[in-house]
Amino acid sequence: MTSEDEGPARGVVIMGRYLNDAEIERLAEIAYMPLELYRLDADMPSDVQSIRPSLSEETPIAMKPLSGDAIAGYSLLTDIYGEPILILKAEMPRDIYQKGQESMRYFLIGLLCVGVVLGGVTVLILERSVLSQLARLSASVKRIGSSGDLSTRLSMPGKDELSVLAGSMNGMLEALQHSQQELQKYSGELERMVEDRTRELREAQEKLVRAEKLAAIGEVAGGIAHELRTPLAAIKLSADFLEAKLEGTADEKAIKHLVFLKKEVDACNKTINDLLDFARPAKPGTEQLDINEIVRSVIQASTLPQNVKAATDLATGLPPVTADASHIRRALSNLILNAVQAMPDGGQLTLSTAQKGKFIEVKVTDTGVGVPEENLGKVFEPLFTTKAKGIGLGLVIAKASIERQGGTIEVESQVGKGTTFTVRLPVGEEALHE
Amino acid sequence: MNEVNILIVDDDAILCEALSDVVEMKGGYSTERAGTAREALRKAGERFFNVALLDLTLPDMEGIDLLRQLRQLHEAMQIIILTGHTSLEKAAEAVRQGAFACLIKPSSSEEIMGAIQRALAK
Repeated sequence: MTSEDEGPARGVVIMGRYLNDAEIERLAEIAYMPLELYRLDADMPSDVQSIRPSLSEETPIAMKPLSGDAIAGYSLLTDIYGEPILILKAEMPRDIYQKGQESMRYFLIGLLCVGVVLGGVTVLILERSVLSQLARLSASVKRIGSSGDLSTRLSMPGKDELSVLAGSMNGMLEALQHSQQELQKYSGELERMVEDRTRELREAQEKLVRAEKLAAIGEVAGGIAHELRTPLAAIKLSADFLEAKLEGTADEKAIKHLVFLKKEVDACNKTINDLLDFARPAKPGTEQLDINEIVRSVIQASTLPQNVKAATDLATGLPPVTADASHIRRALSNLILNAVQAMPDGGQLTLSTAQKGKFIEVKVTDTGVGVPEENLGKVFEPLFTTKAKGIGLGLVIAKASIERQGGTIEVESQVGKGTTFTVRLPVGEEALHE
Repeated sequence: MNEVNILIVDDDAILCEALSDVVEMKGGYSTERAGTAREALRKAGERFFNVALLDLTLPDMEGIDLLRQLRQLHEAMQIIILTGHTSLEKAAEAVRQGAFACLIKPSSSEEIMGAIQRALAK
């Protein structure tokens, strides 16, 4: 056999060395790692035993981590016949692994620190830009909620989502406030309507009571009138008889007293006639009346005291009113009588006429004592009187007479200054078309 | 000339008497008084009255009915109603039934005498 490993082999040189502990030690020093050798036919530690099946001639080397700190390499050694005989175990510390672990730990700790710091900063920034704003928003909303003051608006400067949210909430508040105002308006209107209806109802009731009172008075009056008229007639006729009997005699005083009797009978009769006006359902008249003519004739027929001056202020060209002349006369003469009685110390009585739309207005004004406000509503009530004279029917009759002719009557007064009664009568055509 | 007889019918005796005194003194007529319709009818049955003064409300009969019956007895009798009522309907009804006039109490003696004289002149 040549040095080139060619040609047939002539023999075999076998060299050997004892593989004792010293040798193993020497080898370990050379390899810079502890080495151990185990005979296959002897006892082996458990880790070598467990690795043994995975070692063969084809895979003579295997690795196995022993712990976190060390890793072992196993190699199957053969004898000169190629038979497996030994397992070499080389143990190596796992330095790189440990460094890796350590690095990982440092990295994790670093990451944690950075995370904490970043988190803190983020929280700080969030607190500054969002949370405090949100808290402010929440407080404002809570305040609005507790106070109920929907006119308050949220202030949130900037152009971020929160200011948009505040804007939306302000919009909502606006809408709420609007609804609240609408509701208040409706509620106010409702209250007003209820008040109006209540007042109308009360007025209707008062009117009914007044009408019932009038009807009752009328009924009583009708009965009384008849009962009184017969004795009054007897008194009057007796007075007439005596007057005629005494005529020509010189007893003037007796005659004067008979005249007194007759005058008082007439006064009684007037009261009876006034009372009877309630019993008689008067129908609206159909006469076409010149109201100025009536005013003039009523003033002429009235007996005014010396200290009362009468004046008229009559509008010209007034259309006629459709009414019953006797009712209008009675109403006006009652108003004049009332005015005269309101001026015991004298004064000015003024009657004026004017056209107001579809109505003719007649005003009877005096400069008398006036009516206190609390009594103004009662002047048209039956049997209400502040005067020593009269039974409190004059104005009631005036009102009834005017209203039966489709008119109205109103009173204004100032204590110490005087009173004005305003009568409104429908203009002729208007009344005709009704 | 024949004597003028006036019948006065009213349930108020004093008024009746006062009226009859006035009519007798002022007109010189002779009068009869009746407080009820029955009395009036009886007296009217006994003699003729030129004029009757009637109250419309009598205790035993409505004045209108008495008026009708008196008119049946003596068509020439003139009837003047003297009433305390002011009902136009009643007055109109009385006139429809033949009453000459309708006076409302308390009428003066002049009004009553005037009515009687006009009734007699008819």
